[in-house]
Amino acid sequence: MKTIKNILFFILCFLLISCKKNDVEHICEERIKARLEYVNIARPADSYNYPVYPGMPEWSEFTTAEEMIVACQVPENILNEMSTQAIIQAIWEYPFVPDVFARYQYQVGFDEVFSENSAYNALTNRNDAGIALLERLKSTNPLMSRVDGEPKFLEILTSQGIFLSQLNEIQKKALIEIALENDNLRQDCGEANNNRASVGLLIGKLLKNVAYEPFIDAMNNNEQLKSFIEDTDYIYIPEGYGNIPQLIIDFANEYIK
Amino acid sequence: MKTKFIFIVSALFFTLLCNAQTVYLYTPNGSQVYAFQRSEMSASDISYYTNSYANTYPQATVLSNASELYNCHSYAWNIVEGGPTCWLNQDPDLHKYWDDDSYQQTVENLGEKIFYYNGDHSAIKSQTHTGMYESKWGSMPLMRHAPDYGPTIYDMQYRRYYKKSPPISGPSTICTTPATYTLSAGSASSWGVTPTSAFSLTSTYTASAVVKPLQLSGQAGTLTALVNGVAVTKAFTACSVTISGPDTVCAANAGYSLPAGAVAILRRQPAAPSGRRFFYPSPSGGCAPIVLRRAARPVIRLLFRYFDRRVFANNDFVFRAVAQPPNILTVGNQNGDSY
Repeated sequence: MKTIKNILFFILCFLLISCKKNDVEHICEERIKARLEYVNIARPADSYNYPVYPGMPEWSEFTTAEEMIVACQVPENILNEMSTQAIIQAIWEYPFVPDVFARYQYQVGFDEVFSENSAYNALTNRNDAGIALLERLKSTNPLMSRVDGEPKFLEILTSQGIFLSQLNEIQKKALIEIALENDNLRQDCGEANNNRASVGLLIGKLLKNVAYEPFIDAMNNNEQLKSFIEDTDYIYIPEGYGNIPQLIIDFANEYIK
Repeated sequence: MKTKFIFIVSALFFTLLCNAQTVYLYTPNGSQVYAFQRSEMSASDISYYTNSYANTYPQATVLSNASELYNCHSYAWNIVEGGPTCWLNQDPDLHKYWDDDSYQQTVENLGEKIFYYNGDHSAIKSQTHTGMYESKWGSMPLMRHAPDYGPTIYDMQYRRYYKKSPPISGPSTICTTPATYTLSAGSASSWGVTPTSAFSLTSTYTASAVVKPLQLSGQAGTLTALVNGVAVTKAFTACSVTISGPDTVCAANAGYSLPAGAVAILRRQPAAPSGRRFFYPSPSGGCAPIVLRRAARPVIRLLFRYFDRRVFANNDFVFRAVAQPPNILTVGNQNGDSY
């Protein structure tokens, strides 16, 4: 009888611990409220307005994706006059951002979508792009609905080596702290482990960028970790890769101490 | 100690219960394929992405809403074949569908499944709209689209086509030569052929069997192999052999012929008794026609008394009336098998 009671007791405990939906909702509400106090960055005044955009009648006349992409290139002379935040805004509003997620590896998807994008190319030529992205990331709600924009996309954009290299050590640490905070918030709010790839990729690339020795050693001794950072950053982390984001986050927590 | 054990078991149980589940799929030839189940995105995200893609790609048609429960590879190779709803990445196992010969590469018009090999993407052919494909665009909607219309990240001009390999390969028609049938994978514990009145197994091996028709009347047959307790089948038909020629023979020679590929042999070729050969009907008695029974069945036994035959080629021969004994003309193969 005592054994049965014990079993029932532990089952009840684990039901409460493992699937704590009410707790999650409560924590989320509090933390989102706190985060929203410093969230939001206004759309820059010099933002580019795409002349043709999905939903417009003219858009329906395109018969190939290539035609659409050509129509969505911001002219170079306009880009030259735009602020860095406005260029980031143009990238943010680029109609094909969701296509990054239609591929199964963030970096592969990002490269495919943005390798020949005029706004992105202009951003890579801005020396303050890294800082601007840091500011943008700091001001973005990591739990923002995709309806309003994809915060994970911003993490992938920021993780590009050229932007990370523009940051000094303090800024890099600040970026790691923001990424950790984003991850904490998502985990508290019940985001599944297989959605941690973007933050794992950002932090992992940062730790590699700063040549954090324990992390570099780990990469050299862990094929999956190395592969995740340099090659196969699965958006939806399959079995065997499940502990990689957590491993990266553990290193990041050590690094910022 | 006991309590601690219960605690650990319970922890493991609920950890598994609340996390994403691994799913193992199997190719038609039995190779294990790793996949996993995911949780769905929010209703607002589903609505947003579905509308967004409908707007961004207006030449494509949304067939099903955006979903994170399954992706393109799972849809094309697993779900449309009746498999479970899950997520299947290209790595590590998608290649098994063709590397284990479950599917074979083919040309576009014969392809059932399309693999965009530069774009980590898969599609199927639309069953309702000729020339159109259907594919799930990552977590985005399931779309019907032209072969090269969709996100450029899929590099849609680079495609390979696959069709399901028959589990047993071999000719779909058997004629006078016994046909060999081979398993594409696995070993057969037993073979069988039906109907046994029309076909027979002349030899069987673990990976192949030889079938011989007992008739050549276009009858259908089925070869069955038992592989790991599962019956795999191959349907085929026997060819139909008929003799063409006139229904009426008089004194003059009448030409008859077999279809190409059929070989006429004389089972019995008695010498016409010397001095007793005569034409029937008698050249002097007018022509009393004999109605020949044209071979509607493959057992081409021309039981015509009083006829002689001359074979001019494998499938052309001529009759004329002769004295007894009767000639029996049969159709057979080069090995002497007759039907």
